[in-house]
Amino acid sequence: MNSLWQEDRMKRRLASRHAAERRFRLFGLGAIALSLAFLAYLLFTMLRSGLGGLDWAFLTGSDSTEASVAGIWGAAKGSILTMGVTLALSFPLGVLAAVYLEEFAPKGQRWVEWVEVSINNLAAVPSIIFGLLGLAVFINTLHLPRSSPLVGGMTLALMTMPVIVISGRNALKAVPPSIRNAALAVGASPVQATFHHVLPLALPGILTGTIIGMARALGETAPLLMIGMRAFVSTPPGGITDPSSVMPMQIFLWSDEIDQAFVQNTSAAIIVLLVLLLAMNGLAIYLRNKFETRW
Amino acid sequence: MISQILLLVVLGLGAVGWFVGRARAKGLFTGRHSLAAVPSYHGWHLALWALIPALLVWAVWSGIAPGLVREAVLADPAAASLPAFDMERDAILAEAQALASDPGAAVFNAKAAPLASVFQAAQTRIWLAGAALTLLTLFAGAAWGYSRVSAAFPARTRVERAALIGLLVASLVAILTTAGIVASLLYETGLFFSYVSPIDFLTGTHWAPRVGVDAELGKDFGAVPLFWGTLYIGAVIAMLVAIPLGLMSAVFLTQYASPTLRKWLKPMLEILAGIPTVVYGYFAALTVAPQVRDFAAWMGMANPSTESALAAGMVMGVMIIPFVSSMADDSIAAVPQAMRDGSLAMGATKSETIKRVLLPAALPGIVAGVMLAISRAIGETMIVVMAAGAAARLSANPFDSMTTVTFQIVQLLTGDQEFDSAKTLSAFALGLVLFMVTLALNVVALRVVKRYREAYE
Repeated sequence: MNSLWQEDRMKRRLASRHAAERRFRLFGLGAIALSLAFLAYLLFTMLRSGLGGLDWAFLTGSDSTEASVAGIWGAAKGSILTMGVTLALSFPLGVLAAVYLEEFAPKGQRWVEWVEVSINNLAAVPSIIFGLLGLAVFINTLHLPRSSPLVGGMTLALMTMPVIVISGRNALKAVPPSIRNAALAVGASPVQATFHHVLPLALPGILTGTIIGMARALGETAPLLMIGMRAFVSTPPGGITDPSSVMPMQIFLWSDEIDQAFVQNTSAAIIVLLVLLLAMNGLAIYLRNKFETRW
Repeated sequence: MISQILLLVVLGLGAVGWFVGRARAKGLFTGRHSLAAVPSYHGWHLALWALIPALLVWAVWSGIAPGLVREAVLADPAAASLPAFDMERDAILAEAQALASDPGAAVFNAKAAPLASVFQAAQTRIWLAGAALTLLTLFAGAAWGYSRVSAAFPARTRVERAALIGLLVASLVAILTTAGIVASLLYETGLFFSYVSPIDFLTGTHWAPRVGVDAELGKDFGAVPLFWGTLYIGAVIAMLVAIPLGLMSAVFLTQYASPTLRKWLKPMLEILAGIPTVVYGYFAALTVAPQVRDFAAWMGMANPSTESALAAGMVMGVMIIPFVSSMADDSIAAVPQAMRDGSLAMGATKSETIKRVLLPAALPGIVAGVMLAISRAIGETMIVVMAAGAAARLSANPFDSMTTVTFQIVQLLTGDQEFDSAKTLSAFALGLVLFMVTLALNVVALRVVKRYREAYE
């Protein structure tokens, strides 16, 4: 009995379909391999041209017109101060806003919807727009010191806050209602139930979101360019109102130098920045895995 | 200096107030149900009464103090010789102020030196007065809070009401930020349109911003080449890279990869999204752009430029890959399992199922993801600043240097310029266009995603 499946025509057809299947699969693997190859190429380029410049003098020095004595510490300190301001503003505001929207906001009110819509949109607004806001409001209207970590931190805080609110709401949402109900049942007020029971359980999730938001802010350049954080700092800034630079900005400024010797500095600074970002993201993943509760 | 010390003192006194309030409430405790609130809530109530009015007073004083200092200095006999109402006087005052805070500061105007000591005295006087007022408010508030401590006083409800108001204020910051963005962009754009007509700006094809106030000004502010460059780099070249690679990565990760492989590959792909844009920009300028130029020369182009739309767009596309991939991932996962099973049961191979069933079903979500990716790409700044170039031209040749909206905003606003010229103000007009376009893309995309989710649920 000669079945349809044994015919040559059918065999050829099946073979071509299976070949198409393999091609498609290979195509998918190729896409992801190409993306990762690009990443590897980028990292390799930076390591090759930057690793030689990465020594103690580079890590502790400040900017200089001389490539061989220029270091990253001045910009790193600017970054630390800026991130401090950002964290001090965006973390409390973000957490409190998330708690309000998730636990207390009257449902279905027009203005609550406006808050939600504006938070979701702010998370997608290009970062340079926040720079324009910082320039128009903090510098031209409030006359705060230009180029300072204070203004930079405030601008980045506005950018980071929506990220913290969104992750905070998700973390609060993940806490099961039984926790809330149990607290309310033994006589806690809604505020007590939230602050004594729900919020502590949601905190690891909120922290993860905060670290990711801060990592984004640490790598941000465009908004800081708008508010003039491109000062030439040969000594590390002493406080949050001193003119300063930040690490991504230092990379940008060095990349503009004509002197070829700065290529090494730029790449070395990129390595430092990437290591910091990787460490922050690693910490976020660690926190999530360690404290994540499956209810 | 004064403000830091004062802040510490105020916070310290607030903490003291907490202990005092709690101790007093504890003193009233005579047995079960003798107090309407737990003693620590009385402490909070007292501390809030002490801190909030005092901090408000200090904030207001910080706002008006510079004006008061200025008044005091001008009223001083030493300031009588200053020219009345003009730029020179302001410059002298600014120098005197710099000198007062830092005796080593460079001085260009001889009249500033004698004023420095006057400035310093006035500053000390005014700030000390403010500090005294703040402390007075603090003690008055604390006294009021202290007088309210009694057995029947519902301290907890009062404190909780204050906490709720605090939460509400925090969530209003988001609306304030949005309103601030819209208001500041609209205001500065309005000023810009008093120099250049919106029609010239939105339809002109010649971009060479300059300072000046003549009738021909509008001819040099035609932003069409910028819009073209932005779309060509962000929505065409970048998407040509990001859509195939991102989509195929998502297909491979969701349909073919084993769970272990997926667990490793996905975070590695996400690293691409975590790399700062300035690093991409540097990589584009240092490595990709020269190779693109060499390639163009090899193709037979005469004098290819180092800065090209292709280099910037390609690197931007790579940056967007994880974003497209995770959006596609989500929309493929949202397709009901029954549709996939149905197709496989009919004898279709896996790839046929993906091409004929999954991708068409997931298309609305993928399109929305691509819109979000475009909105991200056209708002991207550092890559184009470092690799795309400054030439505003309408060209379809990817090897040409092209400029974008974000590049021009940076170009116009860095460096020291007057903030009332059409040249700097045009940056805000560009910002407004960028904001509107990204907002529209996001709103439409989110709506599509939402409707599409509902369709399958």
